[in-house]
Order: sequence, then C-alpha cells, then structure tokens
Amino acid sequence: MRPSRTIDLSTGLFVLLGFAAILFLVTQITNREFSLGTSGSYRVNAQFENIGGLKTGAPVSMSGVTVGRVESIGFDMDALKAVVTLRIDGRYDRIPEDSDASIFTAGLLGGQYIGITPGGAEEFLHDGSRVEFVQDAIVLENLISKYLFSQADKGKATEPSPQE
Amino acid sequence: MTGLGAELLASAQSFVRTVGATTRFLLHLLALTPAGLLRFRLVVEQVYNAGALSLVIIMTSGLFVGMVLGLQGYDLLQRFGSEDSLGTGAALALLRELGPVVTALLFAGRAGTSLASEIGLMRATDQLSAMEIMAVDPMRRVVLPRFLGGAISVPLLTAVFIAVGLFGVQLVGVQFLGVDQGSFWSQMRGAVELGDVTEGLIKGAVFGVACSLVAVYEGYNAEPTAEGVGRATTRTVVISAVLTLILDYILTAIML
Amino acid sequence: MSATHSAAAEPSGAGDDSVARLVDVHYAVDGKPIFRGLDIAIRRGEVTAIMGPSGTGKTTLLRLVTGQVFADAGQVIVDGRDVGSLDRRALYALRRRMGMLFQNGALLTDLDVFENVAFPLREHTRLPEHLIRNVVLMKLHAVGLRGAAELYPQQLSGGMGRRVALARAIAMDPDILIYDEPFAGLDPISMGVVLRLIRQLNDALSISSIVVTHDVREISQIADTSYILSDGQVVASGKRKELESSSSEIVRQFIGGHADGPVPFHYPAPDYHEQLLGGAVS
Repeated sequence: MRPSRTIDLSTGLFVLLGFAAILFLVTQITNREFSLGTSGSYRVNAQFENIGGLKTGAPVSMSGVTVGRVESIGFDMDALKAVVTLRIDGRYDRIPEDSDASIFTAGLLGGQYIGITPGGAEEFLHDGSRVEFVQDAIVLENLISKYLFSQADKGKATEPSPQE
Repeated sequence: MTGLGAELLASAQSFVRTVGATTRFLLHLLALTPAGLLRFRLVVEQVYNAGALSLVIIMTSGLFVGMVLGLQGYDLLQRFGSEDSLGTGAALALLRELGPVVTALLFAGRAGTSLASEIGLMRATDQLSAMEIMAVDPMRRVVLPRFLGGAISVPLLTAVFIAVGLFGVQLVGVQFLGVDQGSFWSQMRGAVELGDVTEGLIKGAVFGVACSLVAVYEGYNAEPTAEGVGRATTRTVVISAVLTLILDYILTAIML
Repeated sequence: MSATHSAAAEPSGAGDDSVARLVDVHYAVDGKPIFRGLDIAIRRGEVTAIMGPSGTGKTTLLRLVTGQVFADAGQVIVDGRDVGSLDRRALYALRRRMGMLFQNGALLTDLDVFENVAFPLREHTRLPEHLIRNVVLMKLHAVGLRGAAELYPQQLSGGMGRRVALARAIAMDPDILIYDEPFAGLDPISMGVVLRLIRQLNDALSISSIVVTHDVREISQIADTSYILSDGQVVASGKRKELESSSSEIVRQFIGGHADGPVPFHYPAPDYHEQLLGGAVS
C-alpha cells in the first residue's frame, strides 16, 4: 500500500552514486602511489649532517622517477647525525651499494626530496643497508657565508701590495 | 549584580544546560544505534528523505561552486603564470573545505529543517504522545531513523558535491578558458593525496552527525505549538551552520 | 470548597472490582497544585466519566493513569499495581493493555488509515501479514470505516479521523480504553456515532472505559459512573440522578451550564469603577 518500491530504488541509486563519487575521488585524483604497500618493499637508511626541510613522506627518486618514500627521520646520538630511513619499493631491488643519496629541492620553493644517483658497484642495497655516500641539504645561510668568505679571500688576493 | 550581568549569566547557564542536554541526547541515540540499524526499512526511508531528495540541490550547487572556483582560480593563478595548477588548487579547496562545509550548510537548510519540522509537528499533534501510550518508544521509531538517515547521507552527498564540483572546474577551466586538459589532471594527481580525500570525507561524516543531531533534537524538544515548530526550524539552521563552521576549524587544526 | 461524595462511589478497599484507582493523589506543576488529594475509582466493565470545568487537569489525570507523569504523593493503581513503582519495561507492558483516543485523533500523518490501525500490531506482534490485514479490517469495520482503509489522515473529516483513532486504540484488544475529549468539535451526527461506539465497544469487548469530557448532556446518556472535578479534588460522583440532585453549588453550575457561580464570570480584576474613572482624577 506504500510506494516503497520507488523509495528503495531511489535510495539505492543515491547510495550507489555516493559510493561511486567516493571511488572516483580516491582513485582518479590522488597520486596512485598509495599502492606503495609493503609488498616486498625494503628499508635502507642514510645519515646526514643536515636534512634541511626534509619531511617524512617525501619522495625518494632516481632519475626523476619515484621509487620510494622517506619513512622516518631520527637522530643518532652516537654519530651525532640525522638518520633518515627510506622505504624503497620492492620492484627496485638492484640499486648499487655505492649509490649516492642527496637532498634536493623540488622547484624553486618546493618541498625537499631525496634523489639517488646510482653508483657502479655490483652489490645491491637490501633491507637494512646503509647508504654511505650522502649529500646534505643546501642551507641558504651556509651558501651566503661561503660566498662572503670567498669574496673576502678574492679581495685579499687582488689587493694591491702596500705602497712604498 | 546589574541587569545586564544577570542576563548574561542566565544565558550562559542556559547555554551550558543545552550543551549538556544535547550531549545526553546524542549518547542516547548512539546507544540505540546498533538495534536501530536492524530496522532497516525505517533507516532506508530516512536516507531517501534526507539524502536522495537532497541530491538535486547538492549537485546543482556543486556544479556552480566548481564553476566559480574555476573562474576565480584561473584568474588568480594566471597572474603568476601557473594556470596549469588550477586542477590542484581547485581539487584541494573542494576536497578539504568547500565540499564538506557547503554540503553541510545546504543539508541543514534543506533536510535539517525538514527533519526538525516533521518531528516538531508530530510533537505538536500528539503523535509522539500517542506512540508512547501505544508502548512504542518514539526515540526508536521516529528520532533514531531520521538521525541515522542524515548521518549516513551527508558524507555521500559531500562526495557527490566534490565530484560534481570538479567537473564544474574542469568545464570552466579546460573547456571555456583553455587550460590544458592533460596538465589539469596530472598536476592534480601529483599533488592530491589520499589523506586529502579522507580529510574531506571525515569532515563530511562529522558534520553529518552534528547537523542531524541538531535537527532531531530541536524537533523533538520543540514547543507543541505552530510557533514552536517554526522557531525550532529556524534554530536548526542557525545552530547547524555555526556548529559546522566551528567544527570545521577544530577538525582542520587537528588534521593538518 | 465543599466536597460532596455520594456513598455509592466511595473507593472500596483492597480486592474490589476497580480496574484503576487514584488514592489521595497530589500533583503540582511548577509549584502550582493541580490535584490535592484526588480519590477516584474506575469500576471494571463500566463507562466512567470524568468531568469538570476547563483547566481542572482532566488530561493530566489521564497522563497519571498511563504513567506519562508521576504523582507527587498518593498512589495511582492500575490493574492492582502502582504505576509510579513500575520500571520502564513493566510500564510499557501495562500500556500495551490500554488504548487511548486523543483529542485530535493523533493519527500518524505519514501513514494511511490501514497502516495507522496496523501500527501497534506491527510494532508489538509478529503476526503474518494476512492476519494483520484481517484484524485491521475487523477493527475498521467495528467503527464503520472499513471502506476508508486507503485514505490518508489529511483526507479524513474530524469525526472520521477520530473513529480511525478509535479503531487503532482497540487494535490490540486492550482492557482499558481512555477517551480524551472525544466529542470536542464534532457535529451532532458524529457525536452520536462516537457515543454509540463508546458504549457498544465497552460492552461488546468487556472492557472498562474512562471518558474525560465536559459534554455533560452527551456523556450522561451512556456513563455508568461520573466524577466531577473542581479545584484539584472530586466535588461530586455517582450516577446521573445523584449528580442532578446534588446540593453542591459548583455541581449545579456545571451541570446547568450557568454562566456565573462558584466559577466566576469575571477574571479577577481591580475595581471597575476605579479603573475607569480613577485615571481621570489627577
């Protein structure tokens, strides 16, 4: 006696539409890397003097391709250096042991990320490896003071010898 | 104590009491929820009333909000030569703020008032009393399904709003203003993370609970007269709106 | 206020034939006393009328019986149990055995007539659909509205709506039927219909009925026992003849419908002369 069939139909359509929208949002507009699950991914770590503005979750890339993420950042009281743990996707399991990890900045004002430049060793990084060759983040203050000192040195070198 | 001071104190007291009463109401509803979900039929009807019937207004508003966002965003970004980031900016704005907040406000206006006046009218015409006499708990039979219907509908409506909104942005940006389609979507994909989507949906869920709670509470406690129901309806919209905005700030602060 | 009790309607002791009793009930709202020592006995199988001027709390009395409000002092005993002492579950169990007809019907507006009458059956029983259908049709037939099963409450006239509400009230075959102002706003024909139904249902279903009203002429045609309330107490009770021969002034004013008497015509106001002319004298 009640038009319940239309109500059921309409409600069902509404709910399906809602879920479709959610699905759309989740898959179509996010970067698909949420699929970087734990399927075979492994951890390596690297020690830096200065990590600058590097944050957890920042990408780890080789040749511009994201191969992993920064999982955690800590500090080693013995070595007195920052320790960054990287989680590398299992597909990239042949990164030479002597590769180089540097902290770069994306764009002029972008976030910082870790770029790995491959070395030539025949041994590869595996779970728990330490990346030996690192390059710290570029800190603006250091740059400026370096520049100033280098200018000061230049000035001394070109200073005319004291007059008689 | 001066007249004004005494009045303020009384207002403050009544405010605190209302907060307390509303919280108890919410807890009561939450306690009844597991059993309430079993009365599937009633909940479905209310999801229809609160959700399906709000679809038209949500989709229309979503479309236009998206289109305006496209226009404004393009104009703004164009000054820095970053029109290609239109997709990113719009998506983030919609996902994190505009989607949940505007949906909640529209919901309060369309469905919240309907819920409040329905329940208020039942109170005014003794229908709730009649149910009590027939040994049927009106909280379970009338209030709870409506509360659940609203709480379930709002996150879904939010998702629809955002999706349609993005379509609107795309419509204006890509089709009308010439932003490159490829960059539009790829920049967006590059910058939007799953966390942003969940942030929007969580907000939607919280706002849904809040607005539905206010609506059913006001309706249930309305004075049993015509003016009483009218007042309850007005209060629903006002309180829902303010509460949504306050919760928005709190949630944003927590989630960032 | 003098209270005249007729001996025949004095509440009897324990083990009596009353299905509901109010014993020395006191009840106040916001400090204003509504009942001050109320004693009423509803006899089993009878139609009992509760009457009195507006504002004497007749509806409140019904809410005491159904347990929607609780007395400040005294006892409200229904079916041998004190309503005030019942827990929620027992109270709901008790209510399932009562049926109530509200002043404006109070039908659920989002359901049609059939579903309204079926409502208590669907909520409290697990009867299969065809049985529910039969019960609903029988109840509607008893009130003469079987043909209106598919209409919605908004489409019914006042009298019809009330009859549907009555069908709903008897859907679960209650022991007690309570009517709150059943004749208010009805035309003479509808009134006659409702009167007839109250009496017939009471006898046919072997139940007890409580009717709150102030339509003295109507109710006295069918009531077995009547109570007249005033100022929070019973001022007269008994059968029709006893009430008519009562010597209490308030009872005579009520039954005779006199405009002025113990219930005054004028709402309390300052002296007329002074208020009119007092302002002119400066």
